[in-house]
Amino acid sequence: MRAPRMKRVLTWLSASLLVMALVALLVFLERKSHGIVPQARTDLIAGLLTLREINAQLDVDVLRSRNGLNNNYDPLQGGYAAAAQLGEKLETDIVAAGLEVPDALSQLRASFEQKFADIDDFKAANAIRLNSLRYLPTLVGTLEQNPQVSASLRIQANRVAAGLFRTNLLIDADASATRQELAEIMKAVEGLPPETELAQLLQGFQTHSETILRQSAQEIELLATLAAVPVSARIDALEAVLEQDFARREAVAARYGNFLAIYSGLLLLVLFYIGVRLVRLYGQLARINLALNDANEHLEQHVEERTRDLNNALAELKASEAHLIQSEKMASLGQMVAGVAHEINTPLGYVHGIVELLRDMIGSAFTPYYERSRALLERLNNPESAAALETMDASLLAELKPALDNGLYGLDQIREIVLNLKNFSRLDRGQHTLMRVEESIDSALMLAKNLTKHRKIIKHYSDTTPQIYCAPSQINQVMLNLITNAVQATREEDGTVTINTRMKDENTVAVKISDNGTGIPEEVVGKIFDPFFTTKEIGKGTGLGLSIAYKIITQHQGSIRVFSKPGIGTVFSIELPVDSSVPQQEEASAVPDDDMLLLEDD
Amino acid sequence: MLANPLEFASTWPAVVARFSADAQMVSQIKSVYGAAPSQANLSDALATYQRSLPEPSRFDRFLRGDASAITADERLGYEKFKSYGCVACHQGVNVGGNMFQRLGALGNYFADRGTPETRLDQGRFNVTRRESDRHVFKVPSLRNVALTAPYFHDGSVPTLEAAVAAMFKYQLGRPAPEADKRLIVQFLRTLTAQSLEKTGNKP
Repeated sequence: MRAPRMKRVLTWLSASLLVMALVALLVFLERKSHGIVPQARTDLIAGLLTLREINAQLDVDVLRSRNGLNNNYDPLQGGYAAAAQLGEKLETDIVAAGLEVPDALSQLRASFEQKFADIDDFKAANAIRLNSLRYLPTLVGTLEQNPQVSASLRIQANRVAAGLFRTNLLIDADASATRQELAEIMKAVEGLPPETELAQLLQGFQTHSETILRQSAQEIELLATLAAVPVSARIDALEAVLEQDFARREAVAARYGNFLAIYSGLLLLVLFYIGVRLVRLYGQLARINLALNDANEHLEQHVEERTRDLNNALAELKASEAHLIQSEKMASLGQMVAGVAHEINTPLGYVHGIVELLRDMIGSAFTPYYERSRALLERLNNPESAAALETMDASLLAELKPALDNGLYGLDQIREIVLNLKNFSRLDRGQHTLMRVEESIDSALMLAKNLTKHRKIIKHYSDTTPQIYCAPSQINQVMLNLITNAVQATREEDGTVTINTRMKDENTVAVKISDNGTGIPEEVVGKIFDPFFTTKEIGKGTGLGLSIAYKIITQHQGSIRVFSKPGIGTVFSIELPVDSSVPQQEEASAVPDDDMLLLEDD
Repeated sequence: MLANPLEFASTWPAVVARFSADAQMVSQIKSVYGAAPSQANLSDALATYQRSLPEPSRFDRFLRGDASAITADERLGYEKFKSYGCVACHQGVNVGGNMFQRLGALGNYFADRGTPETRLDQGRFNVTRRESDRHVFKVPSLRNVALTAPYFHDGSVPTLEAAVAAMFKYQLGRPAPEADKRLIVQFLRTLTAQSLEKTGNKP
């Protein structure tokens, strides 16, 4: 139990692993087959372009500041921030594009850093120089207004100032002449006491002039340094590296693209194969399913049929069991009746004979005694007694004869009853003969006379009904049963049983037995032909009568139906074919009372 | 600046931890950024705050065309501020703060101060170790300068007037009438953010 399960799990596991590996390979190849996203590439190149622009703008702004064209250093400062930010963005973009961050980038950023530091120095120098330069005209003006300043000194100072301004305008201006003249001016100062106004003025002139010269030189130096910072070259280098990387990536992507195409093709083939297999399997499955369903349906049908058959068999068995019981009963009854009839018949015969003899003899047999008595009386001359004798004789005869006649009538009736009993339990052994249904009804009425004597029996017999081919004892039984039921359903006071016979068609005799009795409740009217169903009290009925009647009529290929309305009455309607050809073997088995009836003949 | 021992001497993890310990802060940050405090959202919040600065001062209003925003004297002070060359370094939107400059470009501040030089006096040299950066400092923004006494990196100058005088001496290297310096001080006071001008609080 456990081993197959383990095996199944292992199979599933390896199958899923295989599928996962195949999918993973597909995903891997797909990923690898991506080149640089065009947008990323464009972004990177655009970023580099912007860096170039920033770099150029920085150079321009530096030169503008150098010449005092920029009011402030905010543009330079903005350039720092923009360049630094862009440097970071480039790095993220490169990483996002799936490339390795090249050294060229950090070199570029380092060069920017260098440039920023140099620009910072330049700004400091530039601010100071420009301030001094701005102060210079004021200084010169103050000098000129000082009465102690000689004309030559004034000219010298003006020339120094002009030289200094030239250095501002021309980067490569030669400052050596200006330096020399400044040195000459300062020689003149040496003789002056330091705290005099002129000395201080000249001192300031010298300080600012030297500052301008110094800072200007520094600025020029810084400009050279700035120009030497290889930002542009680094940008070129980075671009070249990136282009190389792009190309390499594209080549790799193209190779993986080829792999992917081949692999996808193979996978598709495999999938197609699996698909075909699946479709086939599915078809098989559908067919098997169909067959199973079919079998299932048929099975149900079979089961239903069997069940129906079994039910029928059971019903038949029950019916035949009931029939058997009743037949047994009837057999016993018939046996008894036959016996009783037989036994009664013999004494009845001689009682009848004796009574008849008595009646016949009552005149002739008494005559000698009468004559002798009269003669004796005459001899005795006893006319009184003779007259009495005459009277007695006359009255005796007059009384005795009718009495004996009555007795004989009664005996005849007994004989008829016995005959009917014999007829009923008859001795036809269930064999089929020809009989009119009216005979059967009369016979039943006779037997039921005791029951029917307090009921009104109305008979409407058809004259045209023919003899029908039937088992008379069985038909008798049915009629007796129906009449008995009808009588028992009615009351003594007003009970009426009406019996009709007629030809329904040329082949069918119809008998209708109606009563004005209590009727059958609607809910049980459908069950009255079921074996053992009875509405009578326990012990009064077997519940077999109507079922046997039904069985008998059915066996005669006839039909029996009931119509009933509670409180109004019940009608049993029987239709029997004139020429029923009931299968002989069924008849034989259904009527097992042959032997019993045979006994009757003894 | 955050990690600089001379500034805040802190670290981002420490800052994040401190914010995370404050339940109210955490809930506010979550309501704005939808996440717990982190270096990213805290620096963003700080930057946003800083962008809300500078608050307009009376001088800003003047620059935007409201001639009545500053007095005639203050306006005169502004002219002096420009003509004397203060503006050479204290320029730009923030009136300074965008460059470095040597303290004592035209006079020896440290020798005149009379106290021994300290490490702090080395200025930018401490960062770059370049000889040329010795005594070089960041040119401070002059916004709200009237509220930020004492002045200079060493805090040795107690008043704005003295600071202006020192600047004239060591950075401009020129004499100027006291009246002009006073006017310049008056101008500098117009740089105070209006909200702070009322309360007198330090920024």
